[in-house]
Amino acid sequence: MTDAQLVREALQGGDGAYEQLVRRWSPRVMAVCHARLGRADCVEDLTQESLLRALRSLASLSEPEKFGPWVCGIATRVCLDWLKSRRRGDVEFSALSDQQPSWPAKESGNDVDRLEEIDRLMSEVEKLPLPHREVLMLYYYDDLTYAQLGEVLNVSAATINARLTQARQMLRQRLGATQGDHRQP
Amino acid sequence: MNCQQYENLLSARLDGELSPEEEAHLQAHLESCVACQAVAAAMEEQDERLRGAFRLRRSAAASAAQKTLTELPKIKLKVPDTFSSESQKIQAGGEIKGSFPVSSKQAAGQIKGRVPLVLNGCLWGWRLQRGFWLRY
Repeated sequence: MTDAQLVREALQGGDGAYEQLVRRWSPRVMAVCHARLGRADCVEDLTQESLLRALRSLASLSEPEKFGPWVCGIATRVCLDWLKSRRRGDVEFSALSDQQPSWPAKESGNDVDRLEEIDRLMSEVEKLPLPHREVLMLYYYDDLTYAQLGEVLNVSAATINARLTQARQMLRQRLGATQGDHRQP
Repeated sequence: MNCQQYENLLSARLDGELSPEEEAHLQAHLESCVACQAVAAAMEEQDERLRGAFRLRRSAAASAAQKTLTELPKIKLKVPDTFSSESQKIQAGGEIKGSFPVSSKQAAGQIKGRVPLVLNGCLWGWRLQRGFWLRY
């Protein structure tokens, strides 16, 4: 079922349609929030806040087929509001907690190493320039095609390809990989 | 094509976005370019690590979805059955504060309705002022 069909069904009171929209879009909304904030803590709460705001104002969506870019726009604004409120020193959203990245609580030696490696990798991803980390996060959070990514970000598939390539290249350089340094011009 | 352009193709191949022609073209280059072979291997390794890292993040997204769904009954109670045509015209994403903004058309109508009142007030003010100065 397309997003537009789900939106129409949800507005007619279909419980299943709301659920499908939430489950379909939560990874993408979380990717947008994670990319905007550049950090993983608070992202879960802001994702929830964004989805709730979208569902509350679903009836105001004039073009149901644009649900995706619309909900991602809401997520962007929720994050900007949150960043602004943090700069002012107050945190407005009710449910924010001091949650840490969702690493499992008890881990043995090898697992700790693996988690530290993941932590390092994620921290480098978070330091990428916004357009690059946004496309990389959307891709890895939800395995989207270039066409779907282009639709969400309103750019061409070629731009998606270029940004993903550059993001991967930057990550390799920052994480100390030496591949690609001596290639043919 | 240079190696940088082939890197775009390597990235697209990793993401399952290459056409058979592009795939053949890339393969022919890889057979003769050791540096791009190294990049391809590094990319695949990095992709695996990224997928592993984001697997944990996906579970966080599933958790956010679940929490949102528990709030769903409260939202559904607040969604009105019908909306005025003006409300439905609100641009996508334009309303996120939970209240319905006055549309520009409505605002223009309100201002237009008040213009004669304001002008009338100004006219009477001017007449009174003029009368006052003429008298004294």
